[in-house]
Order: sequence, then C-alpha cells, then structure tokens
Amino acid sequence: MDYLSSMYIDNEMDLDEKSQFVEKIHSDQSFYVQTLELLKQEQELRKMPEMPAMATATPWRPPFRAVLDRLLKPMGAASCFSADSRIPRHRSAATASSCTNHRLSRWN
Amino acid sequence: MDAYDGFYRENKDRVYAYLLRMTGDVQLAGDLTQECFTRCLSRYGRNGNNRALLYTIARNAALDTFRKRREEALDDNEEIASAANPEWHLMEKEAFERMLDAIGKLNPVDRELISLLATEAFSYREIGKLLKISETNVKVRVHRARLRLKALLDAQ
Repeated sequence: MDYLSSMYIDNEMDLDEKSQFVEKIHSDQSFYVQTLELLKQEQELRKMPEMPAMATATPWRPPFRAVLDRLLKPMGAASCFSADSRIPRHRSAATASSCTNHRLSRWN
Repeated sequence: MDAYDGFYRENKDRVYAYLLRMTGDVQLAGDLTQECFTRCLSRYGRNGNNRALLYTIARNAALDTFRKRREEALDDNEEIASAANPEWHLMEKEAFERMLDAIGKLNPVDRELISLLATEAFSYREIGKLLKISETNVKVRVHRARLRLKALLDAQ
C-alpha cells in the first residue's frame, strides 16, 4: 500500500484506507516525510499560470460554420413561414383552377 | 452558444495547463487549447459540452503534435514563464521551469497521469477510462509517476 500517500493527495480514500493511512503516518517516519514531500511537490505542480492572452494569436471564436448554422436556422424557418403565409389557403385552390382554365382555353 | 461559451470559460485554463504540462510549450499549448474547443464544438455540437470528451480531444491533439514534431527539439523553453505571465516573480518562474523540465523528462504515460491529475478535474476511475487502464492500475502508476518526478526534481 505504498500508494496511500498519492490516494490521500488525490482524495481517493474510503474510510478503511483513511484509517490505514493515519496508522502508517503515525508509525512510519519515512512514510510521513515522503507524504509531506509529495504534497509539497503537488502544490508546486498545481501552481500553473492561467492561460495568457498572448499565448493565442486570436481569441477563441466558435467555428464559422456553427455560427452560420445557428443564424440561418431561424431565418430558414421564418422564410418558409412567410412564403407559406403569402398564399392564403382558400385562394391557392382558386388560383390553380384559373390557371388550368386558362391553359384549356388555348385549345378551345 | 451561450452554454458553450460558459463551458469554454470554465475549462480553458485547466485544459491549457494540462496541455502546457504535456507539451512544455506556452504558444503551442495556447493554440491547441483553442483548437480543442473548436474541434469539440464542430464535431459534437451541443453534445460537445462534455469535459471527458474535451480532454480526450486535448490528449489526441497533444499526441498528434508529438508525432509531427518528434524530430524537433523543444529547446526554446527559456522564455516560457516570462511569456506566460510577465508579472511572475523570479523564484516562481524558476520553480515553474524546473517543474516543466522535470515533467518533460518523464515517460509519456507518467507525464499524462501527472498532467491529468493536476487539472483536479478527474477521479482515478475517470482517468482509467480515458487512458483505458484499470482504476487499480491508475493508483499504482500515479504513485510511481510522482516518485519518479520527485527523483527528477531532486536530481536537478
């Protein structure tokens, strides 16, 4: 169970393991020293800089295609709706029949 | 897109830090961070709003870069800390460079384990899933990796 100190650092212990850990820390001086050193090492390791603005040439933007899709979807739906609403249901049938009559009149 | 913006803001620094530990290169880590979020959104759309997926993409991006740049020596690390944050104190800068140098000397698996754990974003179980190894194996390997890192730091 050498890896108890790492489990302690990473908050990965259940109650049994915690109990073992406390007993080992209490009885084994070298384990105590090693755990303390690994804790300090981890503190250093996690002390990393935040992402600098200059690390990236341009600030992150969502891909153009995703933006375009997002913009065009509602426009597409709106244009379908408006095209549909321009032809009233009760008139469209009448328009169709008048066109047919017109075509037939050329043969008469 | 707002939700994804939030996801980006919440995770960018950790992903960047992970990629910085993996690559040891400030500029490259920044570029890869941007690329990861872009890939994640364009490939998975709203379902891309997933941390494990994001780190898988980040990991693959880092590994791809290693493959491409295998012959190139990353010997321009002297300016890493000052480029990252000019306000850093000299002591912190030196400690940071020592740490990155030691991480760079670890074998790839150890470097990956150390880098993933330092993000504080994943449990052993989740790391096991990401790297396709058992949780018990993660426990053992993580501890060994820490001891190797300690030996490298002590030797400096």
